[in-house]
Amino acid sequence: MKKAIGDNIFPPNTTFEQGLTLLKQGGYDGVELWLGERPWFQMKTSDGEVRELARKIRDVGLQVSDIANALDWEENICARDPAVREAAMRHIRRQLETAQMFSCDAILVVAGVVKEDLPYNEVYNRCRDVLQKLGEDAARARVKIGIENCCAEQKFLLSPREFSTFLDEVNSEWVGIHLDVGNIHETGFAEQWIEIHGPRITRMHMKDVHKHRGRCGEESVYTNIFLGDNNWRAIRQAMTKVNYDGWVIAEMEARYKYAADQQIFDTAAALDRLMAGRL
Amino acid sequence: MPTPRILTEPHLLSEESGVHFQQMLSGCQAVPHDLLIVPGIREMSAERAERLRSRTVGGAWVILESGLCFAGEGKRREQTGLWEKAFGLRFARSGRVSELFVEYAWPVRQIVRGFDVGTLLESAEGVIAWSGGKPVCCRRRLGRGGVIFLGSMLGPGLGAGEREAELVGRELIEVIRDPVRSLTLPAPIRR
Repeated sequence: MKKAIGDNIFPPNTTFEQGLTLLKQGGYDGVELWLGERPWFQMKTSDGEVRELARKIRDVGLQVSDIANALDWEENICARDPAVREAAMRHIRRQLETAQMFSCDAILVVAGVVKEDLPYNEVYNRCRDVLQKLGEDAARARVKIGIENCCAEQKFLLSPREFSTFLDEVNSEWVGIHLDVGNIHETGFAEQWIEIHGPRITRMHMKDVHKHRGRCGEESVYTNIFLGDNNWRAIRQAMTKVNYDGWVIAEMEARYKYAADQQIFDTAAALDRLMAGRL
Repeated sequence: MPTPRILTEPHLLSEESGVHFQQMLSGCQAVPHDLLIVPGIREMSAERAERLRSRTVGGAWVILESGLCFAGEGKRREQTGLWEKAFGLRFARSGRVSELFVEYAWPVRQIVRGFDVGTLLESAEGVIAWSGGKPVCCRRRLGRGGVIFLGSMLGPGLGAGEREAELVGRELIEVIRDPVRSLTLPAPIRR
């Protein structure tokens, strides 16, 4: 297994190079790049600039774990407006392209956001149809699309079995699940999602969650690894059970009021314990 | 293809597990004719235990799946005492673990879901699977055959389509077909 964390955790006013150096000092193997999040990696970033980012990552001795995006919440493949849907497909295709440039074989997509005025069945069918097309692009690029389970925020694909049925219907070996163990608190148990999806897991996001904290107000339900209510021993056993040996990627909310970079080091230490199974 | 005998008891735990073992067997290419599966057992009589023991001495293999997970202490003592006498198994006095998983070292290294483990073994001899570091399944030669004891039910995992349970189940059948492999002791498990 290899460990990574997103470039969205780089402390404020940190340059790309400084952030990468922090990750290297923390013992990470790679970085998850978020398209559309930080200034260095946007839709307008040219191929030449992307190659320059790749060089900097190589030079510091890191790899790219996967290409995520911060755009799906505004530009989703389930949108009714064809222009928005086209924009969603464009940024996902850009993820596939840049993944190749970064020598990386997986991207993350949030597929489908159910709303009061955008009903479940409509979202389901549209996401399936679009992902069947994008699956062909992914196959050509030889880059896997990992659909993230953001169950609570998306109000979509709420159970592991339904998620599995959805992937069956998409019917592409290039479309799997980017499994986030911190997003299952309201709908089940992370270890069971791991067991059910097994070989279809493209990448894993790691964070902890307070299961009994309300979602209204300013208080987040998310917290650092080992501080919440996830059953980490069971999660680790389930990973062994399904022979998961890929990237584990911390997805943390930047919570440290002081010494923001310390969260990067603390998270690395937690990931090391998790990977070693010392729980 | 000869059908192995699945000897169920008249209660849900045993019958359901028996159905799932049967479904698994129907997917196997070849099944040993001298295999007996006794799923989810908690009401075995001394006579039946003796008959099974005789069959094993004659060359049969018995997969004995404990169904004591929801039984009371008295029933647990009675049945484990019977199995100790008939099959030479050795059980621990207290019999529960709270772990979710069972770790097999034989016939294949695999982690499967536990099923309310209620029957723990005492000794490490012939142990093939552990839960929370405690032995729950074992294999024991008896005459020309033997017994494979499952202290955590495998049938429910087979019925749930659990990949790893199916792998263990199919390998158990394969290994019984192969006299060399059925004699091979499990490799030590690293903890």
